[in-house]
Amino acid sequence: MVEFGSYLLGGVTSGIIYALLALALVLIYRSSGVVNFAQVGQATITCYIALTVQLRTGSWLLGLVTALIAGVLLGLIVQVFVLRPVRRSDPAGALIASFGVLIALQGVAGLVWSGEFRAFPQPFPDTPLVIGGAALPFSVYNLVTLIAAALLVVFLAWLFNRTDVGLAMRASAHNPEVARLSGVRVGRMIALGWGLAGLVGALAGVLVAPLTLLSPTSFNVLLVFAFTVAVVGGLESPVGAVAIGIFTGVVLSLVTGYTDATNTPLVALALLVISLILKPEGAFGHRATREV
Amino acid sequence: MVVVMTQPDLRVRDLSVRYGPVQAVSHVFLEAQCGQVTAVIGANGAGKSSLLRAIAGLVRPSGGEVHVGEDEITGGRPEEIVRAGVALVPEGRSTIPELTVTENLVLGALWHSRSQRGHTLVQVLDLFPALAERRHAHAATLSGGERQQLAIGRALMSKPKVLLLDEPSLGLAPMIVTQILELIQRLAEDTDLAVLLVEQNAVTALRVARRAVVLNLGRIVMTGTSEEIAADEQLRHAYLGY
Amino acid sequence: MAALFRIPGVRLIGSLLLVIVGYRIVYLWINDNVDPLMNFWIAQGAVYATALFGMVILVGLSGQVSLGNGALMAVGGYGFGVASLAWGLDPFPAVVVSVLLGIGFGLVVGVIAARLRGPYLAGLTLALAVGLPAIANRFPAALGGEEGLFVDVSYPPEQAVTAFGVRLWGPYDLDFPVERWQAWLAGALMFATLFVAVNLARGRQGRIWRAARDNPVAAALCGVNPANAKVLAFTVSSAAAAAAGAAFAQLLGVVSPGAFALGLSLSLLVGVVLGGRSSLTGAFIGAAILVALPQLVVQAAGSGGWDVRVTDNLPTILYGLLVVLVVILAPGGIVGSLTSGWRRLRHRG
Repeated sequence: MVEFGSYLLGGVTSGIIYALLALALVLIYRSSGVVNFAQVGQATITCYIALTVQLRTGSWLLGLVTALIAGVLLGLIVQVFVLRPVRRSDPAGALIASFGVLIALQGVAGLVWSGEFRAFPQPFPDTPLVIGGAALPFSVYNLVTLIAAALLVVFLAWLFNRTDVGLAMRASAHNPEVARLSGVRVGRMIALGWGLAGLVGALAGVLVAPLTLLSPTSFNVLLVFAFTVAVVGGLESPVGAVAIGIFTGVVLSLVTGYTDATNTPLVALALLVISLILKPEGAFGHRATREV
Repeated sequence: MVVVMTQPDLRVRDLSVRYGPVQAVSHVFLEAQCGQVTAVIGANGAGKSSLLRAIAGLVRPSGGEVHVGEDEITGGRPEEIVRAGVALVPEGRSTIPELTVTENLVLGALWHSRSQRGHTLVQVLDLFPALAERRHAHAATLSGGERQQLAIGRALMSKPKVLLLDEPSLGLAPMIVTQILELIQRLAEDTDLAVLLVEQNAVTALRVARRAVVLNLGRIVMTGTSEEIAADEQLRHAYLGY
Repeated sequence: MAALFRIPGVRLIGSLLLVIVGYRIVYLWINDNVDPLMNFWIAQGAVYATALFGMVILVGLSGQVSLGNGALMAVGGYGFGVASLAWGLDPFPAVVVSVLLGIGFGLVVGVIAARLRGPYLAGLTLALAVGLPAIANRFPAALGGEEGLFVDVSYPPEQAVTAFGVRLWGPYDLDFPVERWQAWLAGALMFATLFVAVNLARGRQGRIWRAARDNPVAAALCGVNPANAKVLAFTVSSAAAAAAGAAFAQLLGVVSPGAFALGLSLSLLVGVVLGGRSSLTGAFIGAAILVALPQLVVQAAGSGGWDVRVTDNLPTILYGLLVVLVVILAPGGIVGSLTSGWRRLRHRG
């Protein structure tokens, strides 16, 4: 029973990280209709940047802040220089280009930081928290992850629902033509969406890095998890992404705990395949209107 | 007797629009004066929508000029043209169904200050009581007529000098069409707004418009007062089909 | 020439002749007269071209973006490995096993994929590319785990000569280099795949694929079932990938998760995008680039005294940048740009 509890909480923690990455995918899908496969590549780069800053200055927080800023910039760069110039009549090209960016970024990571695995040190112990002599089934690290993710989700919800920029972004995503006719600078809103997604992805990367060793391709498997979560959640639903993310994290954590870690990619794959068979448009998605 | 010259608010000179080899609008001249409705009528495919979309910046004109008062807006981007005072209500009740009524309206004036925007919102909701009642509802739940009102309301939120309306009657019940168009006419007169109304339904359009332009295959075939055009039987038969 | 190929009978016989002559030219004259390293590159290029024919049909003609054809190659590679190691089959029967496996697998995934819109399909295939090789880690006993299965390259190739009943290649002697045999097998598979691909792509089925891609509703009204067309494209592409995977296994001498990593799927995407998404000729060009580019980088690195980190990562970076540039500047790839340029010239003149 104690085991189950710790698997559960560990699952919630990793689930939140999947949820964040899925959220980044959803943010971009909603604004540009593209699944940004480069997202984990961007997160890899920002994670290395955080690592470098942290090793130089000794401050985890400074590393995190640098990563977040770099994440926003990288998101903007990818949108403005890669995805914006792709012809709108070529949706396949947009997917292919984002995949190209992913691989190029991984190459850059290997070039700059080498291909070997690096440990990502962080100041929060991953051992059970002890309060009044009783060991709780979660650690300071779990707690930090939860709080950081919760803060970010609250910030995004506030931004989208309570601010002018958020309204303009939602309008640009739902109907760019009407948004432009209303005076919204849609191009900037889409770029902003990519920047925000970059921020979310960078946070996810820095939070997940201590759990795995960092290498240029170590986040690939995360891309599958995040994509699975985003698809099961419907690709357009931020709420879906968070809910399914946590669910997936728990399932994978239980699978790892009770069977074997080598099963997790297969379970994720099975989850994705089953959900695509049952609902090709995702659980929280609504069927896109067919153009005839 | 003092003659007051009204300054024409929207002037279109020699405007042409091409889509590849297809010439949708050729050398169109027209003026929409403030304080009145000017109608653009003509059959399906006459180039009416292309004309409006070119004025609003959704398509780039291949030639000609568009002026609002003293400012030239030719070839500008739609988001800049609406800020210059020209608001388009495109065909087909263009609201964003995922947003609430208030959000749809506010969207039309995001670049105004909050206080100014609040002020305009009260005015627009006064104009459309049906929207005021349902201001927290999602636009998806509105009826067709309410959605058309919402689309017009969104355009009015930007405090335009010129309002471009593309087929507001499309798919609406005749009674609602009359209501909306009469409201537009009153609005033009009361607030000195220049309205350019594109309609396939010529009878309705001529009833509210002071002047009208008849378009056929992208060219102007006649310009005149609504009475002149309504009285021209040959023209009616040839281009307006009644 | 191209016009003649529209006549079904001419196409069938013509492409058969073309394939046999092409094979004889490459594998009697070129293959016998180049050094082993060149033969290795020829074999590598043939493997890429085989898989790229499948990509042209899947991505180009039927419009389904797959990021996971490397995983489909893994299916063929492991099929070949298990068939030749565990079952002790000769290379040719083992290839048949792996192609059948590829057809079966492609059919299953194709049925799921046919219902999906672009981004969902791309993500599914990406998940396959990352997830499938992990199966080998899950079953180390049968599939060799991270180390992989060591495939016997079945040298010398006597049985291959009798398998065709015709003396297709020159006398075999004791100095016969293994690379030449590898190039033979990979080349035979490439030309066989080309034969199938040309006859599908240039004929009725090619028109069906294009119709279903460009306007599924109109295609359905003309009696074409767009879903079936997509499933067939996926199956053919999977079969081609499996054949390529078998040749790849024979070329590397090992099938392991590392050999079929995500980078392989990217290489295939690079090849098909650079050559031209819907051009079989483009597949040859794409394959040549895939073989040549890393060699050029290695050579430049040698003369420039570059760090090994640069040599290791520069090809990847170049691939990524090339894909992006081609998608933005020339979506038709090399062949697409050449043909549209040629057409413009002819219209002007």
